[in-house]
Amino acid sequence: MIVRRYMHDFNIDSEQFGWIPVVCREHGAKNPNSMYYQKPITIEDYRNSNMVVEPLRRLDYYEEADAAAALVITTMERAQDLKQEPACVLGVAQSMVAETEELNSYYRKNISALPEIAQVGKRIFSMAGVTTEDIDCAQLDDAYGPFVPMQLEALGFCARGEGADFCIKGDRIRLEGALPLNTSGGSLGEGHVHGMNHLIEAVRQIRGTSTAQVRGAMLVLVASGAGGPASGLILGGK
Amino acid sequence: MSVAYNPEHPIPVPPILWDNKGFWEGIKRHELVFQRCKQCGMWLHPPRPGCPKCRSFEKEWAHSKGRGTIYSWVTYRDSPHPSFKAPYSVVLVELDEGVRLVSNMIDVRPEDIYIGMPVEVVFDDISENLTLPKFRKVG
Repeated sequence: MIVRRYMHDFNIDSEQFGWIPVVCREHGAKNPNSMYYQKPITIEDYRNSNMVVEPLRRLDYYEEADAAAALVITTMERAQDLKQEPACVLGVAQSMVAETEELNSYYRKNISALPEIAQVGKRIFSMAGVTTEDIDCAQLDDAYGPFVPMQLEALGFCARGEGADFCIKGDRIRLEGALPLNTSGGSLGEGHVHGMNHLIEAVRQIRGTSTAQVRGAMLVLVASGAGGPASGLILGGK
Repeated sequence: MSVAYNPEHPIPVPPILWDNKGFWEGIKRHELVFQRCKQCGMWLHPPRPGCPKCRSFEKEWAHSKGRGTIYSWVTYRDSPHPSFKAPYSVVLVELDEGVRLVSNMIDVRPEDIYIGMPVEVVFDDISENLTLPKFRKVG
């Protein structure tokens, strides 16, 4: 419902969303932990992918995955004594839903925006004292691909309604692009671990140990909960 | 086209609770009613204990004219439940009173639905225990 309205509000063709799974799978294909290791897809595969709940195709959805993920969170003082290089939480926030009490926000005035993600973004950028320009890569909620452009807009990486154009052809969101996205593959290209893999990938980027490493990554943004209660953080080097 | 039901499987029925009892009693009588805040007059849906605008707990069941437009819609190409035969469309109708309702269309092909399409409510008596508000195209 939300995606259809978003397409209507900004004159977006559903095929434009295909670049998100294409790039996620491209990144996931490099990751030996991914369900899709060495299994990239093309935009043609996306176009030929079956409609499940129209306007969403099979390749817009994550697949169920069994996985485990863990993070050790401690003080910087302790972290510095540990074997692994620490990543530092520079800003973190979570938000409740706005103008609705349902997870799927069909009833609020405007359903094609993500005000919860916008609120999280505002808070974490201000806590970290950085702007969108400073972010080296982002790990966004891609359980459903079409929510990625909406997050780019809510976080201020592009203007309202320009998220799908931002992703078109995939060049801006690939490793050499302005904002590499979901470098482990994320939910669509690695496996759906409810954002835990996105957090771990952000740590790897800071440590320089990602299988799709962004050169010199110093600041990584993670967002979660697109379309409902949301959370996010900005990680940096120590 | 409407939703086709599979007679071999029981159709899931909406859970009727304290807040939404009035809504479903209205539907059974073929009347579309929504909560309206007695203090500020805001129409509310889905039913809830209090008004999110003025915080009042005083509300009444008010009659909707049953007319509105399609705000958004989706088409299930795969059925998520054995009772429903795919394909079928689910619509989000914005009533003239300002509230929205998730429903189905009657006598419309999925490809003919569009955002802004004018619709009006009809009542579908599916079984002894289940009447659902659905919509058809106006004009």
